[in-house]
Amino acid sequence: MNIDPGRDVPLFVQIAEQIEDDVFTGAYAEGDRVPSTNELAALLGINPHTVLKGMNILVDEGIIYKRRGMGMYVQDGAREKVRAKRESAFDERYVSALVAEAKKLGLTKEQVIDLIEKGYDHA
Amino acid sequence: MHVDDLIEQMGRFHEGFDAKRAKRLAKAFDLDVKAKTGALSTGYRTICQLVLALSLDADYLLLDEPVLGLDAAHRELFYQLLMEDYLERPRTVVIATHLIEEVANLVERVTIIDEGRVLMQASADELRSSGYSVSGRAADVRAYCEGLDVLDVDELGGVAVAYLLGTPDAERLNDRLDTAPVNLQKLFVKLTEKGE
Repeated sequence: MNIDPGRDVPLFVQIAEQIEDDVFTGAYAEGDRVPSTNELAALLGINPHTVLKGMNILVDEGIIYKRRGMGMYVQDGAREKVRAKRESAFDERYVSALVAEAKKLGLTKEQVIDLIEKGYDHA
Repeated sequence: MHVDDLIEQMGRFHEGFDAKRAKRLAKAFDLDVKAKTGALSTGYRTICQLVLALSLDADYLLLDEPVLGLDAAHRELFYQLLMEDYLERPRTVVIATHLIEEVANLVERVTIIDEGRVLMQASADELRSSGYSVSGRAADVRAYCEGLDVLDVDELGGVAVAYLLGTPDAERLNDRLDTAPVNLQKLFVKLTEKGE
């Protein structure tokens, strides 16, 4: 888990993002236990309130849930939720930036499409 | 007096003192309990005090520059032990320090005090998002800053970095300007420089 205070993103959001990413990649499978607030606080040297704030985002989004006396677990269907979230963010995060930069460089739409096609074929 | 004598004495003065824990913590810091307290280096004298403090079950722990004289490894170890202690047995811990960046993430709330006045009080995340920097050519930076809450501008050779409170103004930004978050130490320095 890589938390960087120097980034533009608040720590609690970074924590949520990291766990979410682990759910997406399958590092945590649905039904798996994720580290507790205290475990992450101790590991990262971050105040438990901050960690809890991040975890609560994921609870609210239905990615993880709390099992009384046992800890936090990955919700069924969480992976699909994360996938859908990232898909709808894909446009804003990647496509807009791509198009903006392409226009700055004076690339035509056809050139960009061509590059993307090549990228797909070679990756 | 030797360190282990001191540990024993503490147990006599304070009911809630955990001598076993103190010895365990001393070992973690490589503090020789057989050493004479008077012969300890400055750093180890501090470590001795920290070991005792972490072994007391007081409800309030006030730490004034707790890691001065400690090398980086010992500072890290102390923060780790402090956190573990806190998680096991929550109590109110107040740390007075000038090492903002090291401590900010550890604590729930940061209060910045300058000359007896509270300049800012917020969580580490909130503090970090309370300001930002804008850099680029001096003229561009000055144009950006017009009318905004500027803490300070550093300028050298036609390039400038401005430190501002608030969040970046998307309308004023352009390709020639770069924004970046401000680390807490920088924020503290700029806040106190301004004398606000």
